[in-house]
Amino acid sequence: MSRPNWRLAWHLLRREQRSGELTLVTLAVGLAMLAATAVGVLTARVEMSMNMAAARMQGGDLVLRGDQPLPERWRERAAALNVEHADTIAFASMVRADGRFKLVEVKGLGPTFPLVGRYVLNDGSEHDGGPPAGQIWVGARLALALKIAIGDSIDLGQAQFPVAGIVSAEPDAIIDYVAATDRVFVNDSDLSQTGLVQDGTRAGWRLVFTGPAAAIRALSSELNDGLERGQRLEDGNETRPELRLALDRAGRFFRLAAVLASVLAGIAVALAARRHAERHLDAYAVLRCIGAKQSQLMSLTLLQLAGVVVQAGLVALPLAWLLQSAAAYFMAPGLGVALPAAPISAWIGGAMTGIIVLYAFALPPLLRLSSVPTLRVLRRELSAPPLAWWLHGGIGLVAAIGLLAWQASDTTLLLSVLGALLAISVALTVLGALLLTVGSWWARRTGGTLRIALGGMRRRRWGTLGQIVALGLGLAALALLVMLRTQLIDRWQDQLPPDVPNRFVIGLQGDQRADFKAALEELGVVDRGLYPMVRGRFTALNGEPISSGDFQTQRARRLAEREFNLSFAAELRADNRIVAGPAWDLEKIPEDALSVERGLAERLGWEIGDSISFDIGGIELQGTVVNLRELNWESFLPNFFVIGRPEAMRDLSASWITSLHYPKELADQEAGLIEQFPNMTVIDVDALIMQIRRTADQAALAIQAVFLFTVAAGLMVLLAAIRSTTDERLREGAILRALGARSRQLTIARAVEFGLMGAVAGAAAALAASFATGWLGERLFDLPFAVDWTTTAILAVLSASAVAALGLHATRKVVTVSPLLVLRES
Amino acid sequence: MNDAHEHSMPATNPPEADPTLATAPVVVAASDLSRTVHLGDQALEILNGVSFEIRRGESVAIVGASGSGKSTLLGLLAGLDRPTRGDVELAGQSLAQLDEDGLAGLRASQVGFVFQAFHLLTGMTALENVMLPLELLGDTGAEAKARDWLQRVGLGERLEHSPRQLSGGEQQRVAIARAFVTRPAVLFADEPTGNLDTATGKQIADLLFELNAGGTTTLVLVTHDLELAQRCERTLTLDAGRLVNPDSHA
Repeated sequence: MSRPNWRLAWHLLRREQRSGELTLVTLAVGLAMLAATAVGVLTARVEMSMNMAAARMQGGDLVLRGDQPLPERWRERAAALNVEHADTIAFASMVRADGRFKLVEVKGLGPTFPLVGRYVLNDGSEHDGGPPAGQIWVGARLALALKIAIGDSIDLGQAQFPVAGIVSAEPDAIIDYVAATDRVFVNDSDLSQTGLVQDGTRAGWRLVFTGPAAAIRALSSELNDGLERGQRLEDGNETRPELRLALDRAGRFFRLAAVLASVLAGIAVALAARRHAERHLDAYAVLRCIGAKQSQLMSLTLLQLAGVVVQAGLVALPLAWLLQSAAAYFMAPGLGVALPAAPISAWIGGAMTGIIVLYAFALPPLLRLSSVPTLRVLRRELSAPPLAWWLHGGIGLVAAIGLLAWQASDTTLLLSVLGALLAISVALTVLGALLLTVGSWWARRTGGTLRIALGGMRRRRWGTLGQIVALGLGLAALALLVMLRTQLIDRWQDQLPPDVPNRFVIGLQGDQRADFKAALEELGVVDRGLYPMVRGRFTALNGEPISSGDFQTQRARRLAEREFNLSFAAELRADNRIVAGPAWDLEKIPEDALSVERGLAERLGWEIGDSISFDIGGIELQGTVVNLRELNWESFLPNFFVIGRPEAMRDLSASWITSLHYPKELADQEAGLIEQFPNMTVIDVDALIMQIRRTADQAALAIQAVFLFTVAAGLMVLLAAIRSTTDERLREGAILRALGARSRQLTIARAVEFGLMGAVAGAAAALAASFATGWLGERLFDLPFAVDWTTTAILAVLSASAVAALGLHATRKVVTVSPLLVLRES
Repeated sequence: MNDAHEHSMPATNPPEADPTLATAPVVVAASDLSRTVHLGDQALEILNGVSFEIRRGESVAIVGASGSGKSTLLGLLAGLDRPTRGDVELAGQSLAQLDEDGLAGLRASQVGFVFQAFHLLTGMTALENVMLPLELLGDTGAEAKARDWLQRVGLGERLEHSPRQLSGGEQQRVAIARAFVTRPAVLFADEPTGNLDTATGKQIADLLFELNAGGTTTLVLVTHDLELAQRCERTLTLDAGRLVNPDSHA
């Protein structure tokens, strides 16, 4: 390639921009950049903040847990990074109040705890810290159980404390609610006088951190590298699966929208670049004629495109900053945390998207320009030779797939979107070809205006087919997002209906089940079934003893270290979906059969047929994995990682668990239920439900914002597709007008042509999008497969009307500009 | 320059004969030029065995009926197209020996064009259109030279006008300025007055011959306008792809 002539390239670019020739290309690239950057940055910020919000349910952005006092160096490191920290300690102990004893969890709170959130006492007062030294607070359920009132005294170890508050809400909501119990809260400076914390005391120490996102990321990385035995680090990813699902779905929708926006912008760029190339064949022929070398023209094209990228970026990136800042500003109050700054990679990713979209989609048509025959200056019918198919389609296709893979960062999403786009393109091509065939046949048998319209389509058959496919793809992408967005938001609203269980009840004994059911009936609370639960520790895989060190990920190590919930059942609940292995049919499965949650099996490397051993209170239970299940975490019903046959586990010491929707109006009677079953623990998950609702609301808001970018990209495709044949239409219109065609005739002809194209593209797009929505919804968002016929019909009609209206508007010059002017210019 | 060409230069008797032309070097030499195109199974011979020479500073008209091969010949002479047989020497360089970039380089330095359809770049001003050939050559004084040439063609006041804002005659003046701005050895003009009315066409022709007379540029004109052809020193007549008067004079 010859030395780039920067000056000439700049001059040409300036002239092209001034004449408006590159406007649509620049707009499409700018939009790709704007959508990718704004969506990428906003997504990164929202995900980080949602993780932070989730993490703060633990009392801070980051929590270091340990079974020993935590080293001082982490406090010093946090201080150096400008990160605040607070200490807590928790251990089990007996308390005594007025002669009654109860096993409780004692929480010793450091002077700076909580770093975020507040304690709410039952008198409505809110507190930034825990109890002052010398006083004790008690949990509301414990107060009920022990009939404790403010001012009463509680014995804790060797010390006695006056009760100064009854806690109704904690800033660090319960994450592992099954392990929850009644609590008392003391100032950690008082712990020494209780004599309960000695060397070797079995307790959990927590060091909670909060601070700027970058500092938290840095600290998190250092902590991860320096974890010692018995320590673990928790951030937002440790949050409840119910909340994580909402975040994951929102993230997937963001990525899907960003991917579609980029692909649509790519199509718009390709269409605009193709038209640009067609319009510049003469100019490039002249340039070659007066001495420009092909390599010189190629480098000019590349440099011009670089100029387009710079121009688009100069507008798109600041605009992306503004848009995502505005969106973040409005979303922050809902999320309850300020959105942290996005990593620089999110910005680079957005800019790179624009560059890839431009070069991949615009370069092939523009490359043709450099090979336009010089003889075209004398014989205008000569055009540039077509590029090799692999060069023409290949670059765009490879880039599109690369872009999708990069943005999607999710194989299922990538393959699903590619499959859907391919299916829609094939359907559109087939229907378009059918329209052209029928149109040609009809054109020969009709006359007047209709013949003009159908004849025009036949003459421009490849252009028409290309327009139908491009229009259809643009419309389908829009329809797809409209429908998915609606379904997703509906799903979130339906997912947590007003009667979603808001209490988990654990610790019931087998012989209490009948009384408990009767008590519920008396209260008018719906009984959602009692499930047996045994706590077990995973000890061996296929006879080989395991240790936590055998596992790579921290999560797997934790699962291997801790006890988790096993259950037994003769039948699986309907929302336990078997994804591998045979059905849970007691007559067909072996006696030691185990049904395992898929995620757990993946993390711990269990496969069907593996023999798993558990230690259940000193008793070994061995079973064989027969199938894998997916659970519906959003049901707020008790879920179990491992389920066995009843006869295999019945003799193990099981307690019973259920979940209930406890209406607020029955709050006064909750104490009576607790009194009746003193050994049971009631866990309030209202805070978690509220957090999920809030997350879903915010995600829905963000989805609306992201959706708008894709709509803009879709409209750009429509415009580019319609404009792609404008020049030809103008020439034809001018000739027809010169021959005596009336404006009305030409308008009707254009309306028929665009109406037919719009009808085919719109109907095919709406139909294809409906099925794609059902398919993608099922694969990506766990939505039930459903085709919304009403929306399909509405979208088909709207699409056809929009194409007809846009088409008529874009080609209005056919009847408004002097035919002489058009013919002279062409 | 090839001596043989100088010796084989046909005697000419132009309207305003310049006795020095007879000894001027040959700048365009066509030998046995043929061009065949295939339309489906059928081979169509557009040019057949055309040979002639043109000397520096000459003005030569190529005339003939529509379809006689005039434009094809012009394209071959200017290196815009490749002959099926034969060769062209342009400014001493065999075009058959040059690849596409070599041809482009030769056109940039030695050739100017004026077309019937003007072929100005519509996104550019008159000044920018004239600067373009110089910018392609990397000439840093492009703007000054372009201004000068636009002054010479009478458009000094319309430098910043776009082609759409200019009349046909004015557009052709810009094209002439663009053709002459690199001081080419040969200027090829394809029906330069074909899109203009008679009066404007005459003005353009006057300008073209005036500029040709004022320098050493050779003018090769394709036209079916006999009046315009008669203003050239020599006329080559094509009929069905054959040169019927290789040595004819106007």
